[in-house]
Amino acid sequence: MCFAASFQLDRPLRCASKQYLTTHTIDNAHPTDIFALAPTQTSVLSGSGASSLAIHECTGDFALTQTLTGAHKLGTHHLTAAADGTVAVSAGFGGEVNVWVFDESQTWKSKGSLTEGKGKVGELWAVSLSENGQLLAATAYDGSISMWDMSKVQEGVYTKIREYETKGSFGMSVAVSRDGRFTASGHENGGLYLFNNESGRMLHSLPGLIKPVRTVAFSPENTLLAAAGDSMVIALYDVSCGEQVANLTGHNSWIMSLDFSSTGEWLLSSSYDGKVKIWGMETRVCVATHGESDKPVWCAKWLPRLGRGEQFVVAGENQSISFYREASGG
Amino acid sequence: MIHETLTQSIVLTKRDLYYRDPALFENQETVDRYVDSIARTFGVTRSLLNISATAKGLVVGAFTLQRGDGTSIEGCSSRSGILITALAPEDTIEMSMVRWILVVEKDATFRALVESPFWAEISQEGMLISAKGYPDILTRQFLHLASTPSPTRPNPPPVYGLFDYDPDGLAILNTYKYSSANLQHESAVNGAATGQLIALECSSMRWLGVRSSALQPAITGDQHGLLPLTPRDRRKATLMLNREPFCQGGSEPEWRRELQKMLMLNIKAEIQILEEREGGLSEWLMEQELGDLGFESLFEDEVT
Repeated sequence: MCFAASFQLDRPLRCASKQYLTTHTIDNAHPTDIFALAPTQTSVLSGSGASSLAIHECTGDFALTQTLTGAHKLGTHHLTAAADGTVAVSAGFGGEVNVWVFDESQTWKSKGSLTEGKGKVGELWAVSLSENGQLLAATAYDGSISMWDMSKVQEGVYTKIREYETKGSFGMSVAVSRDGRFTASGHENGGLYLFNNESGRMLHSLPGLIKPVRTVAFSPENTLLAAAGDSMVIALYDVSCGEQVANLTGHNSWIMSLDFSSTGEWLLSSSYDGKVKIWGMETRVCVATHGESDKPVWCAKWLPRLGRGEQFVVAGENQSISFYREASGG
Repeated sequence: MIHETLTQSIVLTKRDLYYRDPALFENQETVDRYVDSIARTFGVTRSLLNISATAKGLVVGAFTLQRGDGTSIEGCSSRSGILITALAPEDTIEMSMVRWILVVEKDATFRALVESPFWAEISQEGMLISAKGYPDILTRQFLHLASTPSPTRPNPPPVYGLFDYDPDGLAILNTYKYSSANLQHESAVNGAATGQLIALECSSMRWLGVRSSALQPAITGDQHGLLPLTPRDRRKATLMLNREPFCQGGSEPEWRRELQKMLMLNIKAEIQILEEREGGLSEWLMEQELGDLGFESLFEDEVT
């Protein structure tokens, strides 16, 4: 038994841990908790308990390039952006979802909103765009997941193309695969569902997590689906067969955010106790842990590679946005 | 008025109803008769109309209530507390020993505290109040009187509020501190009509908890005592975020943050979650600001 234990402890060391350094911190980026981040090629959009969205440039001096005032009167809790940085979608505490476009004038402008019919139980909650920004998934309190075709706008009204029904438990998290083929949703009762957007069918109802699923993410090639939340474990599933292939343990609090790196090699996670972890997908072990405070890190996202290795951005209750990059030669 | 109690989910006593328009009702019996008659007409019990028979506020502590007729009541004569009834203008509260006032949301918490070691603190230097949920007008009036500076009491003791970590808990805190806007309006109008203004707010109230930070042990531990928000909770929280003092730029940014966090986490917890700690609620209270007050105030006395 002793041998087994020491053998297991040995493994992460042999896998060579990685080192990440803080490159920049924007203090007081928002006057209150930052709940959401959405990186594009050049910028990071952030949303908080205040009504404005902020856009910071992230390739040079991290300057504030734009503030979208009054974006969500009650505050913003989710954000998603297309990879090319032309479309972004934000969800607010009032249950409303707003659309933003980056136009020729190089500024973000409001382009309407998605609204559920009045009287429908449950606000829209989590949102996710496909890589090209054409397909949007949004969960609702009643457990349903709505899909919109963002390219079809008629008189400011976006076209809802599909609605997936689940067992009625609050849809706390959602992800659309980069190519738009799949949607995954995580629910308050631990439910985790995988849908095929082409056929409009549920592919799998994935077991394994019995507590709220606060975050879901697809790997770039759609091979893996990661899901996590109050069970403090990151569950990895094979997208094609729905089998659970791994459990990543190491977080000691609720997991709030997951994101795969562009190559699919690394998985980034953040938790309620202020920890950020990076997991190697080949070895399935944690290669780096960061935690400067014990305040919740609501969101952690990879940034596009810029020649000098992987970089990511984190934000949370401490109201600042921090940028990290891989230590060279590490 | 009864319609209001139901649409705004507030509870009024028959006495409250009378005080809202004494000129109209002339005497308490009129109100009692009408309430019973309305309840009978709809075929429901009185409590379903959100009207309670008597005062629902309880108070206990190191004070003496001097009635205008010469009688007096000791604040800690009974651990079960004194029912907060209407104060006459000539009634006074002798509370020079009181170093803090603690308002708790629930009757259960009130009873647990008076039966705990914390009773020693309450009976020697404190005042404990509970109105069993949303406070009635009499309780708020009493608290207003006890916490507002006056010629005879230039430095009233600080007031702390302990409520559930849920939208109702924060709404009750808001009611105590700022008074319900509608009621305030009515009381001012009626006061003008009858020549007496009824002030209800307790603007010095400090929020003791339960804050999200107190849930940390449960979140990382066995998660015992954490409950998911109901659709009603979420709707209520959303409505509250739209209004003072929870709105953007409002007077209570911390309340706004806690409400947003509640929605984000989708959890709530009752005051009882603090009893799960080692030492229970009474020890938790002693670790808070009010636990230090006894000594601090004594020290100040020596200096002056």
